[in-house]
Amino acid sequence: MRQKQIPNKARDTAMKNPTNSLKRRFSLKFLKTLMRIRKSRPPPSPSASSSWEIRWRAQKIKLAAYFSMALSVGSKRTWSRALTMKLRATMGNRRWSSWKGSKKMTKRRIVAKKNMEKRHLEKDMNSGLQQLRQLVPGGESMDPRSLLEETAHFVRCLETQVRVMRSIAEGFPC
Amino acid sequence: MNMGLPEMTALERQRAKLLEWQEEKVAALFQLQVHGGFYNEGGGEDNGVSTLYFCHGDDGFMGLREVSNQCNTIDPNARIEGWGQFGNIEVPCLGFGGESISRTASCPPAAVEPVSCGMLTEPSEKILQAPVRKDGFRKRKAERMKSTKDCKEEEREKNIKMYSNENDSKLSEQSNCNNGGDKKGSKNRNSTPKKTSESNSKDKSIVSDVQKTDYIHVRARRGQATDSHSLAERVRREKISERMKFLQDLVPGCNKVTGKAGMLDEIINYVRSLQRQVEFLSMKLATVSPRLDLNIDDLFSKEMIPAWSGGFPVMDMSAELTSTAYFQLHPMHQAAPSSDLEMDIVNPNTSMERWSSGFQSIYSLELEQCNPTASAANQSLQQYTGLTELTSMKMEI
Repeated sequence: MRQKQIPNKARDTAMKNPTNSLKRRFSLKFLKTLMRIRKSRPPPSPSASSSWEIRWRAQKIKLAAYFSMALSVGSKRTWSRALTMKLRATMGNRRWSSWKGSKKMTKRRIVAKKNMEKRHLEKDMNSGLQQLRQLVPGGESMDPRSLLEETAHFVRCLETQVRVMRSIAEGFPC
Repeated sequence: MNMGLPEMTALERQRAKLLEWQEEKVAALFQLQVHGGFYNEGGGEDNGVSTLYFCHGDDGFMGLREVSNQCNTIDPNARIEGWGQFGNIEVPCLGFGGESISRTASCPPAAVEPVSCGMLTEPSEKILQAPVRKDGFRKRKAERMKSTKDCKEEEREKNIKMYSNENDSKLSEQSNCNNGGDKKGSKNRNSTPKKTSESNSKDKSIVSDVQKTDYIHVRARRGQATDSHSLAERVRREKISERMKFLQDLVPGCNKVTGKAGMLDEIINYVRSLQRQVEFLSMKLATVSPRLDLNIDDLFSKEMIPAWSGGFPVMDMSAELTSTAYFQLHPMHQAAPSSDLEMDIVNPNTSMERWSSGFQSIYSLELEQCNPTASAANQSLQQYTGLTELTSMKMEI
C-alpha cells in the first residue's frame, strides 16, 4: 500500500491529512442528511415533550454527522470502514452484510490480535491504547502503530466535522 | 550458492569455509589491500572485486568466482549495485567480509586493515567480531546462531530465486541469511506480512540503501543488545514513537507533556472533547432546525450542490433562497406573539440577514477551496448582503 520511494514525511502527511475536498464532501453530505432529518418526524411517544424531541433529533444529527464523515472518507481508513459497516448494518441492507471485505477484516483481526498478544507492551501505554481503541471506531483489533495512525486521521476528520457543524450552527441563531 | 552444497546448512557451510579460508588467506588479504583501488572511485574496483573473490578461491566458491567474473562486466558506474549483489553472496564465506567491504566502500582503505588482521588472528568464529563494526557483526552472529532452521526453510523456498538480480534481499537470503537484516526481515515476514513491505527508513547500511528489498535492515547500535527479538522490539518502538510525534503535532497542548503515557492521555482527552463538541453542536442544530420551513431545505439541497461544486453561481441562489426565506419567515413571525408592527417587519429582515450571514459563513467555508472564484463570489455575496441591509433600512423607515 505504501510507496517506498516517497520520502517518509511527505508520505505520512499525504496519507494522514484529509484534504479540503473532504471538508466539502462532508458538508454536502451532512447538509443533505440534515434536510432529511428536518423533514422527518420523531416517532410518537407518550411524553411527546419538546425536549425529548430535541434530544431525539440531536442524536440523529450526531449519527448523521459521523456517518456522513465516514462516507466522505470512503474506505481508505479502517475507522471509516468500520463506521460504514455499522451504518449498513443499522440500515438492514442485506447486500452489504455479506460483503467480502468483512470476511477479510475478521481474518486480519484474528491475526492482529494474535500478534498483539505476542508482543510485550508497556503497561502504562497499554491502558491508554485500550481507551483509544474504544474511542476510535474499528480500533479494537489493530496493532498500536496503525492504531495511532488511524487516530491521527480520525482526529483530523473530527476537527473538520466540528468546524463545519459550528459554522452551520452559528448561521442559524434563534 | 546452490550449486555446490545444497545439503549443508548455512552454519555448517560457513564454518567449514571459514576454517579453510583462515589458513590460506593472509597473502590474499594483503593483496586485497593492495588492490585497494576497490575503494576508490574509478576503474580499480573491478579488479579489486575480482581479487577479492580470488582470495576465496576455495572449491566451494568456484561458483562465486564465476559470478564475480560476470560481475566484472558490470558497468563500473553501477559499482555499488554490482557490489551489493555479490556482496551478499560473499557473506556466507566471509561472514563480515562482504559487509566490511560494503561498508568501507566509502571508507578509507585503512579501515580494512585492522579488520582483516583481527579476522586472521582469531581462529574461531569470534573472528567475525571485527573490532571496527563490532555491533553489527555480533548481531549477524547472533542471527546466524538462530537461523539454521529458518535458513533451511528459506533455502528451499528461495532456491528458485537465486539468480534473480532484481531482489538482492532474496539473493542474500539464499546465501543462508547471514545478513542479519534479512533474517529479521524473514522473521518479520513470517509474523507480520505487513511489515516486510516497509521501506528502508530504518536501513543504515550503505549497500542495502541502494537495494530494493522487502525486508527491514536494521543495524544494532553500539552498546545495545543484538538479540533479534530486542531488535524487532526496537524497530517497533521506533515506529510507534514516530506516529506519536505526528499525533503530538496534531493535538494542541501535547508539547508540554512528554512521555508516551502522558501524550496518550492528552490525545484521548482531545478525542473525547471533540466528540463532546460534536454532540453539543448536534444538540444545537436540533434546537435550531425545527424552526425552519421545509421549502428552504428543498431549495438548499437541490441548488446548493451544483453551486458548491462550481463555486460561482452562489449569487443567484442566495438571492432566491433568502427571498423565499424571507417570505417563509414572515408568516411565521406574524404568528408569533409580537404586537408591534415594526417588529414584524424588522424581525424577518434581521433573521434574513442572519440567514445570509449564516449562508455566508458556510459559503466562505466552502468557497475557500475554489480559489479563483472565491473572491468574486464573496464580493458578490457581500454586495448582496449590503443590498438586503439597504432594503431593511427602507422597510424600517
